[in-house]
Amino acid sequence: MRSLDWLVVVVYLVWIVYDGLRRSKGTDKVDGYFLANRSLPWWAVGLSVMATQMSAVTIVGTTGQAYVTGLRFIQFYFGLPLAMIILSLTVVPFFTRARVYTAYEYLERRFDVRTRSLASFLFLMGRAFSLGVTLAAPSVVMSAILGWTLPVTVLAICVPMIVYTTLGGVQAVAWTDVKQMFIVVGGMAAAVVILLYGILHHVTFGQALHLAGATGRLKAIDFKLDLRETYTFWSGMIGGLFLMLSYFGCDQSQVQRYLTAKSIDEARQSLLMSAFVKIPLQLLILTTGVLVFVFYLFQTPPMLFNRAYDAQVAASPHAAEYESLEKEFDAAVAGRREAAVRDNREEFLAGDARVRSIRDRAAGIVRQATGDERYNDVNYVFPTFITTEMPIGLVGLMIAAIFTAAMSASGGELNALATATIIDFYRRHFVKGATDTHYLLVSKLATMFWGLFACVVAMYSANQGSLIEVVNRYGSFFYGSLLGVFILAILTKRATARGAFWGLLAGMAVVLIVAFAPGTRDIAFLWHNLIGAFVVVIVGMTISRFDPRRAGAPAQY
Amino acid sequence: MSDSPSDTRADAGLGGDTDMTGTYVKVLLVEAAILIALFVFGRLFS
Repeated sequence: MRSLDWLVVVVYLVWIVYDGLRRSKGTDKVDGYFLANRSLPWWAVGLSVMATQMSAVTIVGTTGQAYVTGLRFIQFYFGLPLAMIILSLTVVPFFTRARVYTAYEYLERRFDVRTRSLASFLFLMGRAFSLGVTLAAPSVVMSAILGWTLPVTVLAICVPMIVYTTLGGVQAVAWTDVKQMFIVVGGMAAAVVILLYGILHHVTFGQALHLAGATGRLKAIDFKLDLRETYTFWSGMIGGLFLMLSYFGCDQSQVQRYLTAKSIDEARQSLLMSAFVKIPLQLLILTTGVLVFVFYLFQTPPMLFNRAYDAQVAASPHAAEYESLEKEFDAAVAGRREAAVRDNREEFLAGDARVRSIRDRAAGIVRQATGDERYNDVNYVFPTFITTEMPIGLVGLMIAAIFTAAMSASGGELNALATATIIDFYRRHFVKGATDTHYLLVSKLATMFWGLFACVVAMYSANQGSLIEVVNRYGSFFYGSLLGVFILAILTKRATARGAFWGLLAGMAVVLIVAFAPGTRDIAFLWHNLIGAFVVVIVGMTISRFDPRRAGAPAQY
Repeated sequence: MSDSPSDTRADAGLGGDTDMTGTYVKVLLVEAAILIALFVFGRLFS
């Protein structure tokens, strides 16, 4: 990166923190700190909702995934629009009228403190560790791309984020999210223009689509009904629907976003914004990845995009083998390019298969030479394109966009962790009836604590591939079960506190068994949400039926 | 601030709860259009 790019990164990061704090009016009370005094316009809340999900991993990982496999990941979001409609009709008016700070607060009103505390505890554990992973993944990539050490990269993301989230609360988070969305979408659009400019020098737009399509990268929909396949139409529509219902309906990091809206209608509109925009937005990101693939058909890409181990491989006994593979790779890329320009489909596909096979062999050598069994370069494709192919100034903006994406996704989660800690535990169990000033102070301390905790997890988990996987799967262990409890709370009159509590535990236990038992562990994680919710409702209703305590009707708001 | 189950800070006066059926229908129509477009696009360029 050149000086101008660094200047853009520094100026943008300083401005985003300064402006976030400047806009944090009314954060001198807990209501302002956690809920922005319920004053945010729907479009800001809507953008904040989308920004919280769009982490840096989305920008670098999703484009990389599309480079390798194409558009099929889009199926993950097919359940989202329907989930938003269901939530707009059910929990949005419920939570907004109930004037709660956390989704779990409502569970105490409906059931008991035990169910509320368990649900909130599950959220805290899952979200705190996944926040660390959210920070770790882009830190690893950016440290390799920028040549920084991992702790420096983690701190470069964490320190500004902790500062503006701690001092400015949810308002700072929301307004930073708004800016991030504009920068990310603008940056991706600029990348698409640059990619098309590069591609159209060699082939027409129609030919470019045929080349991408020939490799299967434009096949977005797969109707195969196979529970082991992670991304199919059915897993996205059904499993994804339950995941989105759980995520947007029961996860405090999302619920808190729409609780900041001015009214029920504005909260609904903020969610419906995602219903309209999320799939096209993800398509923009995935299409960028596919275009990067087409772009590199006409430019020679690096054999492997992740060059973190170059020196180690060069010093290993595999150095000569790797070097000759690089020559083979260059020849294969040249052959594929010729076939692409001549529009010879068979030769092009054969050339592409050769390139892929060489890349696989090269990755195998790196694994052997370094002992890193999890080595791959998917997340490095787009950052490599940015730093080597984009014009000066825009490189800085894109790198800043990746940094702020990491910060804004984490800032919302950090604020939600502090809210659940203070409202569901500190104020509920430990210090009742203190002043607002006191709660505000401990809220800021809690935000800082979770921020530092996430930094430590990020630094530790960056080198623990298996831990990242465990944490990523952890969410699906309890998301569906939490949804089940909220179904019992809101949609049934007969469920009792005992039924909800034991139903929640049973749901998680069954999902845990399904995830690890030999016969069922291949079932894709999206289906876990459906299984969890189903088990909680069945077990919860069965226990409630035999519960001698009188069932309470859902509180009407 | 108190935080007991009986302390429902429910505010019946919270305004802006209008019927949004038309918007829901538009959401579903837009999604259907996107799915059909993706399907046709995939078939056209495979």
